[in-house]
Amino acid sequence: MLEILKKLVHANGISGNEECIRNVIIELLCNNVDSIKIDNLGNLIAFKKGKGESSGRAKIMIAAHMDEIGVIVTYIDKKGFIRFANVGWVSPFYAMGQRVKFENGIVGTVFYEQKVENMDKLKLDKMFIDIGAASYEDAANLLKIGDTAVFISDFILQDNIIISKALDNRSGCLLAILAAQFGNEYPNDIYFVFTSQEEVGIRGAGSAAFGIQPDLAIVLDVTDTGDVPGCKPMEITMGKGPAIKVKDGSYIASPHARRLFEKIAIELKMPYQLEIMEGGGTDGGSIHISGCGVITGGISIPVRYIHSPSEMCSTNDIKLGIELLTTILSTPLNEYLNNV
Amino acid sequence: MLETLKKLIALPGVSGNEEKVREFIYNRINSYVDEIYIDALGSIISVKYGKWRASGCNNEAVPKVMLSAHMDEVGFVITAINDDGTLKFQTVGGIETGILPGKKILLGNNVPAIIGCKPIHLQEKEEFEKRIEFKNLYLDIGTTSKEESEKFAPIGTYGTFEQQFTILNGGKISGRALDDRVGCAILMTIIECGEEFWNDVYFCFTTMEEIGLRGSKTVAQNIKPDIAIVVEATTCADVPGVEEDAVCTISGNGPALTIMDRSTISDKNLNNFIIKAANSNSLKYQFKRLVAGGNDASSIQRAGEGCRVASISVPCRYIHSSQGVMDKEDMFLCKELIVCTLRSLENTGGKIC
Repeated sequence: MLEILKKLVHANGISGNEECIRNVIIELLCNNVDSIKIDNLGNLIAFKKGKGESSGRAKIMIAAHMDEIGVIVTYIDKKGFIRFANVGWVSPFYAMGQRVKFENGIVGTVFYEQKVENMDKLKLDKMFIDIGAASYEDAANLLKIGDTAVFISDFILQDNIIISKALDNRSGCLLAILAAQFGNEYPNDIYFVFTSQEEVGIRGAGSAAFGIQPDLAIVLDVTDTGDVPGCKPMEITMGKGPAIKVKDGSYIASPHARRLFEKIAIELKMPYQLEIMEGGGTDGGSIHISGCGVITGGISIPVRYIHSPSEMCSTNDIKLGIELLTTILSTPLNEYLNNV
Repeated sequence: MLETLKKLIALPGVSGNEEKVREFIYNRINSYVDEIYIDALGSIISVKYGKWRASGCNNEAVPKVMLSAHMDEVGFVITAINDDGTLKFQTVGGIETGILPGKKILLGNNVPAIIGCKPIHLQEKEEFEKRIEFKNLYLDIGTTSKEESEKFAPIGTYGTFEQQFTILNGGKISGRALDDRVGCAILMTIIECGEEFWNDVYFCFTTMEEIGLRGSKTVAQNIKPDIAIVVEATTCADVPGVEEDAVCTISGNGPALTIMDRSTISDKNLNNFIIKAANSNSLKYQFKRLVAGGNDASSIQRAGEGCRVASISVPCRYIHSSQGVMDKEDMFLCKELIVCTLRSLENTGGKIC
């Protein structure tokens, strides 16, 4: 499981440029699903047909976004320094002093214009990437406007803690991949959708949901925690189990979904937490209002330091998350969903 | 094309109130297209069927292409009338208050109005050192009473910057509402030149872009295009006082392709296809160099099951002000680039990848 996660975090895939991570996921899944499709927005839609009569099978959509945050080249100056913009929410403080790696392997240091007087007001447009080029020509030979880069970070496993970039949301992708690989037959039809462009505004998921029109959508993503010094109060603690979504900044989870997930967690005698994330958005935001509306719930992995190159999560939460997800999917849901 | 642009600029069409522009475009193009209708939000949807139909090709395999420009402009609306006859107003779409005092605008049926505020001689030091606040602005139409004003400009009357299409030196032109009458002029010119393309091409003139990309949502949902190119005017700050990296586009360097703006990441394959068409036809172009702004591509991309989108824009200085400035050549090259892209589709069975 951890080998797969390592592979996923190292496969680059900034919003709008998800080819690499998409190909890695296709390779991992292709023998476990019945069909694979890539839509106009780059969403990867892998379909696994359920067993039994088609009229008795519920249509479930699993959504896990495969894109990550990064930076994009906007300008190369006369001396070969690179100006950039964020792709997704990138904090200038998290980015300061970090290394970034472009698709062609070139590495650079992110730094700021030292004439900035007030560090409180530090913004990305007062920062630049230095790839060590001697001139504009040198830099332009290597990079061009529109090239994207990810932050560099090693994948570290320490006891049962993982430190890495892109746990948001390769950990969610991991859950989806393992659920697709698990067993041979579910009693429901399942669309495993690895969505694109979530980090720039939950853009891919709505279109995918529109095409599928599922009976139930389960969004797999990460959630903030309330267990580090000086943080905003929040009930989530890393290591205390997967979080079942109540609401985040972009949607209120359907009570029908939430109750179902809680019931199953209780039956499994599994520790779980309830997630209320005041800010932030996830694919559920666009899925639940797509088409005529979709019953949408979420299972989230608690992650500390989200959107930094050193995100942190617990392997226990991941293992329990997989167990919860596969148990939900293994439950025939047609009758339950028809009666809500 | 310049004549068409001049006529388009002369017509008022603030978001939600685009009738005159719509009527003009509809009457001009309707004999050149195979089908045309107006949707519930007032957008024009027209289609020129493609050559593939006569070739015996399978319908499913030929992508639907949508070209889109918005008819609306930023402007004003009257919200209240003061007892002394002056009018309170709001902006429709994004307009910076700093450019407003002293401007002449036209309300409703060409009623001239001046945007007034406290004269500088009477302002306190703190007042004139900071940006003027909207609440301190009003419209003066020369009346002295509420009753009189109601006859000329009742609440709900729309207003536009006064139109002045002017030819400047160096191949530059100026006028209000270049955003996005330039896009409309380009699409009208392509339609009226009568050329047939391989794919079915939907020429769409959308409403209410400036207040939230609204018209395009329903148009795209209706047509369900596979490929869409939005034709726009875009930020151009190649002017004094702007740092080199914030210039965004340069007037005269050709039409600008968007890689990413605040609301859309353009489809890479479509962008590459357009670039290839530009290179094969030796057309100059540039990239938009700032992640800023947003346009109809955002709602088109996400309509229905999704669509591959790109934007080709004409750089426009002082965009969203009373008068923008753009380069004639950039406009012509923008039209050429779109036409060359449509022509290239014939070599690939109508597909971009």
